Amino acid sequence: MSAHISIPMYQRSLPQRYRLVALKCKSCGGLNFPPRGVCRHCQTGADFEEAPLSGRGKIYSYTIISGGGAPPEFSADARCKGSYPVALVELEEGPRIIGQMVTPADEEIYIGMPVEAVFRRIYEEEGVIRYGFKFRPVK
Amino acid sequence: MNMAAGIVAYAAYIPYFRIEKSEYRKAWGSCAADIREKAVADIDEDAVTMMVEAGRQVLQGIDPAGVEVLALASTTFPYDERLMAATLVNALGLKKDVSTLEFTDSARAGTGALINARKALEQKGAGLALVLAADNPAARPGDELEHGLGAGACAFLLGLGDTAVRFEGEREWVEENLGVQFRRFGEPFLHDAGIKSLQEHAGRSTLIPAVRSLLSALDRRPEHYRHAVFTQTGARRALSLGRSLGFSSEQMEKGMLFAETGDTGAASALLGLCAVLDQAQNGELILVAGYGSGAGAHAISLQVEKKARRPGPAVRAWLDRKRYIDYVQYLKMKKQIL
Repeated sequence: MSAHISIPMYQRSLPQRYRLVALKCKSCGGLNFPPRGVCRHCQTGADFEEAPLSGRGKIYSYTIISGGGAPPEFSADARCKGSYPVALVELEEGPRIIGQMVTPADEEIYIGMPVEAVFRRIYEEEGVIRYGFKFRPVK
Repeated sequence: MNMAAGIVAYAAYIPYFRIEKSEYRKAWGSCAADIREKAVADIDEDAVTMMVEAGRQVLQGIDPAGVEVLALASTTFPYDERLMAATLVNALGLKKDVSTLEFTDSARAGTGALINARKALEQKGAGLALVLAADNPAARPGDELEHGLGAGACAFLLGLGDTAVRFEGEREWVEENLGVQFRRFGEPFLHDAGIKSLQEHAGRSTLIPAVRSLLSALDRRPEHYRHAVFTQTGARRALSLGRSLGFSSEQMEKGMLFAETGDTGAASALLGLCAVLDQAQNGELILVAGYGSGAGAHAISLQVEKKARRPGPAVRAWLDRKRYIDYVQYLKMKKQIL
């Protein structure tokens, strides 16, 4: 099943997808990623400033998407690799975000592995290349 | 008086995957390129993602708002029409009134971006210029031209005044040359009519006069240079071009990457320059000459005044960080058989 993201929705989220821009709550200082209307930490703040995240973190959990399990927009990548890992990464600054892992074979991944965000093609839809972040092990 | 622009920092990026010459021998019976192995971009990489890789390294510790000029070079931008600089500005967090330059119609684009970024920055008179070159060329698998095509990227940050590598002078040369490494509008694959004499002529008729004209203007001889780097569409071809100009293999060895990367197109000569800067000593002179089909060349004379900043790994470290894939996996990563 595909989780279609329209071009306007993708356009709005480009700062998050390209540069991991979080919103810092001006009342409690909490980081919101992805951005929210009201701060998820203090549940009251609605005034924010932009705070790009480092992209560095550790694998909190992961799964392997194997043959036939990939949504259609990722099927070319899945056919290329046979399977690919998806990780829940806890960033240095705190937020936990999900992204595909590049480079390592599945068996090399472990919980706690230090990773960094990289800029890659995520998929193509409606003729538009959707760029965004994935993760790779820190060398 | 206007301040002169020079290189202050640089970075390289070479994708993780490699295919060895022996894989071509197994698949086709022979390998037409004088590679040992070559770099292969992953399926989710392209010229833009590789530019971001190199750009992020070179901007480490730098306020991106200081970048006044952005110059891009690639023959393999993923769109024929659409400003790719906008994606780079967004991904690297550059300011939106940055001057953007895009060079794309031949492998000469790399040296063109470097030269023109320097000029644009000097004209601005303040700030930094970011030069990004990346390429991931493709041809039909059955075509011998395909055997040598690699992938790679590099980035240079130019500043004004107190810089590490000084530009001494530049020359250009164009001379029409038919049937060599071309791609018609809308086509994904490079073609070559396969005429050996014209393949040699593309570099010889442009790069040699560009370099000779520059040396004569600067009153220099090849032996004055510690290093010489050329666009590498083949290892032997690049060496033979240099030897015709009077450069020795010792002068060319540090910048010769073809045997390990393959042809990195618009990034080729500049990636070679990165490898040279990794080892260059203060005071040394470097000659960089890029050429591309069509044909045209640039020659650039550089002098190292102090060590340029390199926030990321050296070229050698990128070359050693690798995993080998077989030919079938290679075809998949190149999107030939998916």
